[in-house]
Amino acid sequence: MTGNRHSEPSAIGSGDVAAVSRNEPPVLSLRGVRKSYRGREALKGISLELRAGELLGFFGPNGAGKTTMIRCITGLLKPDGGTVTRSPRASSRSGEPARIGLVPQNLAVYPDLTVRQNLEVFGRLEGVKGAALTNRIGEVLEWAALADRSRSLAKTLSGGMQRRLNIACSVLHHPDILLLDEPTVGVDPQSRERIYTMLGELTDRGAAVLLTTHQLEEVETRCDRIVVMDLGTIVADGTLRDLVERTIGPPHRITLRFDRPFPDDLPDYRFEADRLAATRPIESMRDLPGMLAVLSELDPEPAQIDVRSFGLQDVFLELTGRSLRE
Amino acid sequence: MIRTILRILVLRLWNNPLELILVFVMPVIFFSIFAAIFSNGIATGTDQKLRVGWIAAHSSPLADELRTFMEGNTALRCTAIDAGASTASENSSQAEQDLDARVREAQRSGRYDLLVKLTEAFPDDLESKPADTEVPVSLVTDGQNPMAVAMVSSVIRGFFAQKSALIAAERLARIRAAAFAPAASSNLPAGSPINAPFPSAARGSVTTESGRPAAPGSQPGQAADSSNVFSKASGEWRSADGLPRARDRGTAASGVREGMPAQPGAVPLPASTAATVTVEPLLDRLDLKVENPQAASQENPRIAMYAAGIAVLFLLFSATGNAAALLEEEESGTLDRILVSRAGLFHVVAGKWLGILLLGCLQITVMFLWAEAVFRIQLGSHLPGFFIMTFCTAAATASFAMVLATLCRSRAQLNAVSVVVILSMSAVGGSMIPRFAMSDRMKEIGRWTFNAWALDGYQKVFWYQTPLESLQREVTVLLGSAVVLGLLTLAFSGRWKRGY
Repeated sequence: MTGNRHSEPSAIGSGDVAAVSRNEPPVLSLRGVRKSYRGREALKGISLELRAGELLGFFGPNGAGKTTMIRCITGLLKPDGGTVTRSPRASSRSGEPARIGLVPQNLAVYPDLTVRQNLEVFGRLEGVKGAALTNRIGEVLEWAALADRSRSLAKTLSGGMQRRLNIACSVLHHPDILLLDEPTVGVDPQSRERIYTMLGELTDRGAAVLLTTHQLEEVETRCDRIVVMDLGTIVADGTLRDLVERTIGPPHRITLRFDRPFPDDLPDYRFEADRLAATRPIESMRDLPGMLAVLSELDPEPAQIDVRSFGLQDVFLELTGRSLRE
Repeated sequence: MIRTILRILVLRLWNNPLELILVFVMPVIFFSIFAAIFSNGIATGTDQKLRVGWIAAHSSPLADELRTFMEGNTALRCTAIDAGASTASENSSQAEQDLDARVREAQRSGRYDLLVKLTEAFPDDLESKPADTEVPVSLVTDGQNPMAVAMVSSVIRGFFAQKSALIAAERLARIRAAAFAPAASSNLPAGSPINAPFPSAARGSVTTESGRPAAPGSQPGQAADSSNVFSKASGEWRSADGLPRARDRGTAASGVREGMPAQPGAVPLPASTAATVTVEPLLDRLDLKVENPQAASQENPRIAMYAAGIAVLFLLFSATGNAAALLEEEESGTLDRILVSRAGLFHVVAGKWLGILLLGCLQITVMFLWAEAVFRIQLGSHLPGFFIMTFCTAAATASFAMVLATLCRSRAQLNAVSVVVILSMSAVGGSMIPRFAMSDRMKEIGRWTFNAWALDGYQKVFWYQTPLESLQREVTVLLGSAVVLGLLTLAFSGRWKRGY
């Protein structure tokens, strides 16, 4: 979760979905989606739900099928099987399905147009016109911190600014679902922070955000939910803690190392064959002080004590293996 | 180090098939195209011949003889055109107008490089007419093929030179026959050969063309005011003043007959014959006129053709350049973003096509405005035809560029393909080399390009100044191509929707 996730709501994001609620029906549902390219299965029956206000991180090795799945969600690809369902917009009496905004991985803007001109053309393509478009552009420029560069050509912007413009061009029509394909590739930490602040503001306003990334730290710390995908299937889906517990076990581990073989048994510790090292899972960090108090009385005393919390990388490697895929 | 740098260059080239094609195949393709054009066809054996239309107000032995002579020339393809019944009208002025109308019509058809026009004044024969009767022959050109006038006038002059020679030969035969007639035969030894020297006694019986007796001491047939004398010493025909004959000098200076051999109006006798025969100077009677109706009504019609040729060439390049934006958008993901918006694939393709069309129209208009401002191509008096041709040409090139873009997978690929295709089309279609310089085979191949149809259309508008209805074929072909290629573009662009 970002620090700004619960800040004052801004005008950015969906103005129609007011609150995030797990009880509400998903804004996007995938059921058994399959897609093949020339006999090779890229998606093998993907099922997934995305709810309003949720920031879902999609994580997987190259070739896992992330981009194919995004293209199926956007309608750019027709699945061979299964269904992709968007719920109707809350404000729509005609049953208009939830609006989608797409942020491609590359800079999908016109480099020879100014920032404002880019926003204008993409706003018009989404059906936003006239005064509404003008006002919306003003809001989005402020949101993306690009107001002072609105007259600059897109190609003259820094990498971080270009990324922000890339995202800004996709939110002009108040999308209910925003799909981002690696939105923070090649940007500095400040720009990354700004981008996640922007996304946090969107989810605070009720938009559902799905992003793919290779940045483990980002997924771990920024996303409400993580989906790990490999070889066209979803191998894990849940919060980081859920994933760790399901794939590895307790989320933390303490390791003791000795200079000489430890002669006695230690309750709950598992010794290696040479008895120079012992490990014990930790369910909660609250248990750690008590454990350390016990260790202080050991003889011989440990030469080294390591406490490690398992992360997404451990889960990922556990699920997908360590061998290269490409 | 240098070796490593060299190795990098070679490896890059080796790993890039498109670049290999551009480096090695392109020159061969262009060499082949230009070789085919300048060698008169792609090994088809069809020689390029000058297309000459023959239109005579009436049929006559001399006209038929001239036509047969021209038909026998391997460099010409002579086609008779019906002069129409109206030329037989008693009103000679009306008949002449009708004949001119026929000539103009034939010229506008674009089937002839040059028209040979014989009016009522063209004599039936030469013998029955007074010696000062002129032989009028008109060469009607549209100015496209500057070689045509020189070639055909040379052939016609050759005909009259040959005719002179034949007449001279006949007269020589008559002279010799007269010399050996019974009246003079007493002075000859029995069994003298026909080419034996003239006996001096026979000289008095020989008259010149002008009817005057030969000057004392002169050879039989030599006129007293001999204006045309063959100098055996110099081997040239000279007038009495020793200079080339005035008429020949004049024609050479006129420029119209420039490059033609100066044909003397008489024929030398065989070397073994001591006599020289002065013959009727037929070439002096030949009144060869060159008419260019286009030049009469236009200041600079040829520039309009060059403008059209260049405009179409660059139109194709700029159209493919703009269509390539589709591939750039595809590569950057912008196309995906647009397709996810409310705009569908049809909107994208149609919008791009329309943009390229309008840009193309503007591009051609700017080119012609410049041509008008600087070269006076009289754009203002051809506006309807210009706009029709410009729209059709731009529409066809827009569709062509779009379909090329949808067939290619990347901008680099499109660049390579478009360079090959456009330059080939332009070379064959007449944007680089005038179509009149091509063989019929090459012209037919050129018909598969937009350039040829566009140039033909502009030619009709600016050169022949034909009515708009005459553009029907060009408009049909260009707009038909635009529609067919546009539909193909929509079909091929489906790959962006289906995924790849």
